[in-house]
Amino acid sequence: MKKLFLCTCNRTLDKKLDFLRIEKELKDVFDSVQIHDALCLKEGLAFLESEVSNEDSVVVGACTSQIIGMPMSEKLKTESVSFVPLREHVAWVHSDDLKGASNKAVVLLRDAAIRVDHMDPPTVVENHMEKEVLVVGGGMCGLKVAADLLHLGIDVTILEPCPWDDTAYVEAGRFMADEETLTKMVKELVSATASATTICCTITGLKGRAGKYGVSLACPDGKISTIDCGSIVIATNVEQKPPPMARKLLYGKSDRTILLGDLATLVEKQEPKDVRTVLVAVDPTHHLCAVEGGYLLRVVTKAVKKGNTVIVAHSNIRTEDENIYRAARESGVIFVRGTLEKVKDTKEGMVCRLENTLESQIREFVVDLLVLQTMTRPRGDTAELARIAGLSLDEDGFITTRYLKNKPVQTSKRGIYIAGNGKMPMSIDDATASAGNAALEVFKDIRASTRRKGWIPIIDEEQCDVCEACIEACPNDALRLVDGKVTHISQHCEFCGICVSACPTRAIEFQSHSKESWFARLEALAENHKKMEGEKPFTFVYACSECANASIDLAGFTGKGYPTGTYVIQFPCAGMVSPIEILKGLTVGADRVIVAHCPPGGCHHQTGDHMAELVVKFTQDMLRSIGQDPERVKATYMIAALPNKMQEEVA
Amino acid sequence: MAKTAVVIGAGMAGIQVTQQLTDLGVTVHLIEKEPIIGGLATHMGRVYPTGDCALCLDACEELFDGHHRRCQYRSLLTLKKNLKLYTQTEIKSISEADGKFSVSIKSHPRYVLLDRCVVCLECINVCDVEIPDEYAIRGGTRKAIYRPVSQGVPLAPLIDMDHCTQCGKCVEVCGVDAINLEEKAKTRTIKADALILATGTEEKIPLNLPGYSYSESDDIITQRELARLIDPAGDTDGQIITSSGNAAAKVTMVLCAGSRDLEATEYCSQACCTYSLKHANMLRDKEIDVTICYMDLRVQKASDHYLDLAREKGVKFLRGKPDRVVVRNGKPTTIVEDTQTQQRMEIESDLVVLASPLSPLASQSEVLADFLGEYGFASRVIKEGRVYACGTATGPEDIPTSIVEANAIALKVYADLEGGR
Repeated sequence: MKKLFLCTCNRTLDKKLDFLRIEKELKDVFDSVQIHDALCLKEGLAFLESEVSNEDSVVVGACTSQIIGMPMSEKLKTESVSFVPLREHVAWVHSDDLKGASNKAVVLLRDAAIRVDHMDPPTVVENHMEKEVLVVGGGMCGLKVAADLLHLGIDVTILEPCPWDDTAYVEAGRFMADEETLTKMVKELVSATASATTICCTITGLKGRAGKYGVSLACPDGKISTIDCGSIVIATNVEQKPPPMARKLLYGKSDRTILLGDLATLVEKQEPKDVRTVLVAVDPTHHLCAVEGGYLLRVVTKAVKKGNTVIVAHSNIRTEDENIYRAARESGVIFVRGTLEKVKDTKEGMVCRLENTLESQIREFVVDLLVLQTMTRPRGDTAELARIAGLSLDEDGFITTRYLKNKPVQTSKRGIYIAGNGKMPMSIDDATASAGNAALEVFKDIRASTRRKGWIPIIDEEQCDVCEACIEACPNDALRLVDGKVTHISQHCEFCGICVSACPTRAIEFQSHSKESWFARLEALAENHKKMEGEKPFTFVYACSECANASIDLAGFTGKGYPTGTYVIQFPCAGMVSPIEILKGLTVGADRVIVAHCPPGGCHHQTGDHMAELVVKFTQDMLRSIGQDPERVKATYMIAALPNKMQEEVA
Repeated sequence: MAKTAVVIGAGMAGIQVTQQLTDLGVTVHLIEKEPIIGGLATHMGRVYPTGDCALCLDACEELFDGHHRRCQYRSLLTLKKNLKLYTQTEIKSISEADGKFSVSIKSHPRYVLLDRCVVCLECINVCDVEIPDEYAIRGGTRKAIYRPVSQGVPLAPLIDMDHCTQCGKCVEVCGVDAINLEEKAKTRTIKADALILATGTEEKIPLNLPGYSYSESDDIITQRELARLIDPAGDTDGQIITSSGNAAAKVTMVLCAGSRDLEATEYCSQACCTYSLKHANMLRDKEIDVTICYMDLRVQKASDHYLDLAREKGVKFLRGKPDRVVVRNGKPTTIVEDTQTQQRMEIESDLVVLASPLSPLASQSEVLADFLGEYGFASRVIKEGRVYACGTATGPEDIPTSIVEANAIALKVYADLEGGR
């Protein structure tokens, strides 16, 4: 039976929508129409539970599914459910147009009735995780990840290209903290990781999937081996590189131009009589990050305390701790703003010509040593590792994470995490937090094998000409070529459907979202609109179910109204929308089709925003070539923080 | 038996640590003094480094496989079975005996019952009381029964009893019996195995900051207040208007206003350079002239593009910390020496925006005083195996850093509670 449940939301929606008329209009589509005053409350949920059997398909016209979807699904015995957000998308935004709003409600509820007809049961995906974890790079951060996991009873293999001892760890981490802190920490971590397997090999290949990766290794003795692991944590280290201006400043030509690390070593060994005058130059093209600034300040303070005269030429000092900056100034380090333009190696010393760019002020300093602030950059093997693992790098060569703000250790690949300096230069505090975070994610994966439910893409092998466009487009490595066939790796799938719009032959259909279902729905939407509203123009908004949908919900919450005749149609991701759905929308009579996606770079599935823009541009080109107005189609982003976006776009 | 933790503060870090711990099977009591969760982020609208919503949460495992992120209102956080959220709640005392904490809390009444309210907003519509809205900058008002921000969770409104006239109209329209004007404060004692401070920071209100005339003009505002002006859901609908109601054409920003200063706040607040740049760029998009007066531009590495973008968009940078901001002819005037040209400048603008330091909220509580160190911030592990802190309770930092720290602390707490190998 097909059942419709309407909620008046405490007798408020029935004031803004003509429930009686809606009920009458929909009698032919539904076997039953029931109205409740509070479906979301205990009594409402109990009512739904008692009224719905597992044979039924259900349409709920109430508030946004984002609020009631989850509590309701827990109570409903059927999975064939479609939600129509009558409150946020209709009543609250068309509050001064009872007739129009009621018409819109009828059109949307009829659409939902067709939608449930095309609904497939969601596919269940089980992901079993092997308990072994591979930590790549055994610097401070790698050791910390290993120590945390070992403590929780997880087996860890640490991979380092060469054997390290305590001194090497301290040496490599010197930029992150003072020597004392580092030494203590290394000691603790080395002892805490004694039970880890440590191997000195390099990774040459990666196979398998999250939970079951096979890593090929080349070892120094020439042997090739593989190890199996469930997850991988990349904790590769960084190295200090000379800045772009190094050559100009005679680095490598004069032995009186040295790097910051060399100064640190020099000061460490310095005899009281060997005092020098030193100029430390920071390359203005290099964005000094806080941890680099902190390192610079610690080194120069120490140098001054040993009796040297130190001048620091810089444009900005970034540091996480104002007190070390203060201590440096108080100890007598001289800070001057400006760029070191030229240096001459003379008998009197290094003659440094400093320019203050704005004022063209020129100052000259004659010093014994010119020291260059270094750039902290990923170790040489990071790029190759990223290539093998299929991860992308930022402009400085650091591995990028899944989402800068709140997915800090997740990479674009499930089961592969990044901790510490491989992501960006970090202080010891940030690096250990990052390590703990990566260990947590790995532990959560292992602790409970995930069982997910969702609609997945179905590949029609007859239609597929193996062009691999879908494999290229899938942001989550969920499609691969196996034995000449495009194969779905369900454990990686995020149920976004980006593969559908990438496929030029429509050989991929997404469950519950087939081409046929779109045709049926869009035709019916248009027909019903015309029946209710006559010649009034209408707009389709194809909204992703993440940011765009939230933005439209919030338009309701904040009362940012817009005209009726606007139908929001939800897609799992805007990246799923192909020219087919857009053109169909136009041919059934829509005035405009707007594809609303997450903000640039902010797609929840990583690339849907970009894909939506591409598809729309492509469709516009098609329209142009047949003499149609390309402006009828548009892609735009919508986010909850901009609840006015919907109003602006459809006004 | 499941272990229990008390998390104090439901800002970004508190929510994050709570989600992780509950995912790991720990029961969490999350205590929030405000009526809604989100902390400082509820004021910020859009945030760096991603330029999207401040109220975007890492999703919990139970609901979305943990691989997603969700708006606060969509997070269904309050549905988690082993999470108990207490809003409008203060900590009265904390004592420790036999390896367990007893945390006494007092929850002030919301007068709207969370398990009954359907968020139809009819009660707000019928309320006759109009009073100034705390989130508004230009005279916006709210009702006595109100929702502080549109995304605020819990979604149910609350009643401000100080201004409620007890007219009963809201009770009348509430057909689901969600309003109880007689609700009383509740005190409870929670037994817990661990305590986590996620008490966060607030932007210091520069009332007592000499030289910058904050209290003399409504056109001298803070960065948080500017964020409220920019917010399209705020009382100005995103219009940048001055106290006299005109559109601002020229804005001067003063960074380090009262920080990195031994006479005021000694430390650097880390995040304000970047959010000031974020705001400057947003103002430039509205073609408003922006000058930033700074000492050093301390932008986080992950947000360097904000600085590049600001230069591209024509934000003017002036190196120098203003001596004074005065009100002249009704307009705020910034008096500053440009240290690059050694020229003394007087910049008249429509608005002056002060980047006021972030100061720790925990230091306002006597109960938490023993847990705090320098400047009122706490260390991550305050007491090994027992008391922890994360987020801006440990020092000023941005959202990404807070999230990482909260995650790391969640693992530490779990490992300490459940024991390891």
